[in-house]
Amino acid sequence: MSPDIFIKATPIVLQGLQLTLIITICSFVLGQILALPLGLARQANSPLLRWPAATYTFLIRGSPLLVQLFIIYYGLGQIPAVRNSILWPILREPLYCGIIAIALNSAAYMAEVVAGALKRVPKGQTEACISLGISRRHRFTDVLLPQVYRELLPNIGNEIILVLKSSSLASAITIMEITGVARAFTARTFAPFEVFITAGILYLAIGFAFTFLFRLLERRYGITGTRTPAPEASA
Amino acid sequence: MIKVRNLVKYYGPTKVLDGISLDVEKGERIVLCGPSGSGKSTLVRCINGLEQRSAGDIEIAGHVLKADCSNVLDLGGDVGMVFQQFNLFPHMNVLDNLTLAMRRVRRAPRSEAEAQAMAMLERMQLGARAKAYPRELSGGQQQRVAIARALCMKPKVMLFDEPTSALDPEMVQEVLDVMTALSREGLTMIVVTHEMGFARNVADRIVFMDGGVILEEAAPDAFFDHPQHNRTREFLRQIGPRTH
Ligand SMILES: Nc1ncnc2c1ncn2[C@@H]1O[C@H](COP(=O)(O)OP(=O)(O)O)[C@@H](O)[C@H]1O
Ligand SMILES: [Mg+2]
Repeated sequence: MSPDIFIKATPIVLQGLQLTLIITICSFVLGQILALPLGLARQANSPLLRWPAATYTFLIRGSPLLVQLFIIYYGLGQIPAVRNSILWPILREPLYCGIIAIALNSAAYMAEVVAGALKRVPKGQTEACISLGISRRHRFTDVLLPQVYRELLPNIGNEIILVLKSSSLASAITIMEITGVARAFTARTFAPFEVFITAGILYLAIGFAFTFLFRLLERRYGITGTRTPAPEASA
Repeated sequence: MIKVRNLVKYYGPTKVLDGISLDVEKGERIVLCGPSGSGKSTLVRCINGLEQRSAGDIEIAGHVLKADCSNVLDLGGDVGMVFQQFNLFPHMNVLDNLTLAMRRVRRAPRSEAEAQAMAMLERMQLGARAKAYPRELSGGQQQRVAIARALCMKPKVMLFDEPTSALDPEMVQEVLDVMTALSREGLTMIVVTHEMGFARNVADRIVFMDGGVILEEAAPDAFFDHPQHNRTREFLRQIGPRTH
């Protein structure tokens, strides 16, 4: 193990940082957006909503992300209908395929979590809304979902770390994010240990930054929406 | 104001309400009592459409409630409900708890809703707590906020389901005082409670339920001094120590 390889590896590995951040943040945001309708469908009364959502999460969670990445990047391109569709400019690009695959994956996991949290909101909240005449839509937007997302802040912070780690798989479809550049560099230097240690430290640092950010959010919007500890009640 | 006809409610195979008929006039104050499990909560929840009924007709505050409760939102705050567990919105401060339905259902502008809510809080002596979150309040304060939240919708009827049962004993009175004050303002009320002192003071009529039927209804004096049924006498004896 030699220190100058570490020093040489650092700028190389940092070249992948931008793509890693792009993949992580885009997949995470897209995943969160998709998770909401999926989660709502997952606990809906109508089986017409529930079953497709359940099938989706079963398929996605039951198979490896790497396989899903290959299916989307290599597999879809073999279907002429896909090649002729307006989506082809997107599905031709490895970066977009990586983002889509990781987002679809993250959405499936988050959907289950959102559905579970929705079920845990006490029934009395819904009953209070009904007795006040609050419409279904506002019941969700103003009462149920704000409580769900406050409760889920720690889970969401955890999810972005999982997405960050998943993003390393994008190197398998030619994307030169951190892991991708690290692999290319070891092929030239034959110093895998130093290079991948450097990459690992970089992942840890990014993860630490995300964790810190979510801690701040949690402190601001914590579970019951209070920022101060409960003072002794007085009229 | 409220008209219930032959209300029947099953939970699975169990008949919980067995042909309830009840009329409540405008401004009338009803106390509903009876042993635990006699169907008081179920009756109240059927009346405001939180629970679907198996048979019977319900008309309340000028709305004919459909059997599947599909038009329950049409009641739109005309029928206020106060729950044993308060059911405040934990992520909103007291003021937002009060203004949400005014703004979303009554479509009041925020400033107007907040002015009205503040006036209501002052009346409940909670003005200083407008920015507090529910969990920062005592149980008695939370229940008073819940009452204020329902009142902000200017309901024609208020239903209370054991509003003081979840409270520490020293907080029961502050909630009963608020309810007593309301009763003096001519609001139509149905109150499920075991507080027989309150019942005697406030009720125009006491309705006694047992086993899913109304066994007896009478003015308070007649009810307490000359109960007609053995079950009523037994009930009064059991809860007697709590009467005053
Ligand atoms: N959701 C429910 N499912 C099944 N049985 C219920 C449900 N809610 C209430 N019951 C039953 O209905 C009966 C009446 O309950 P309830 O109306 O809560 O009585 P009370 O309020 O007078 O104590 C009880 O025997 C209770 O066990
Ligand atoms: Mg009850």
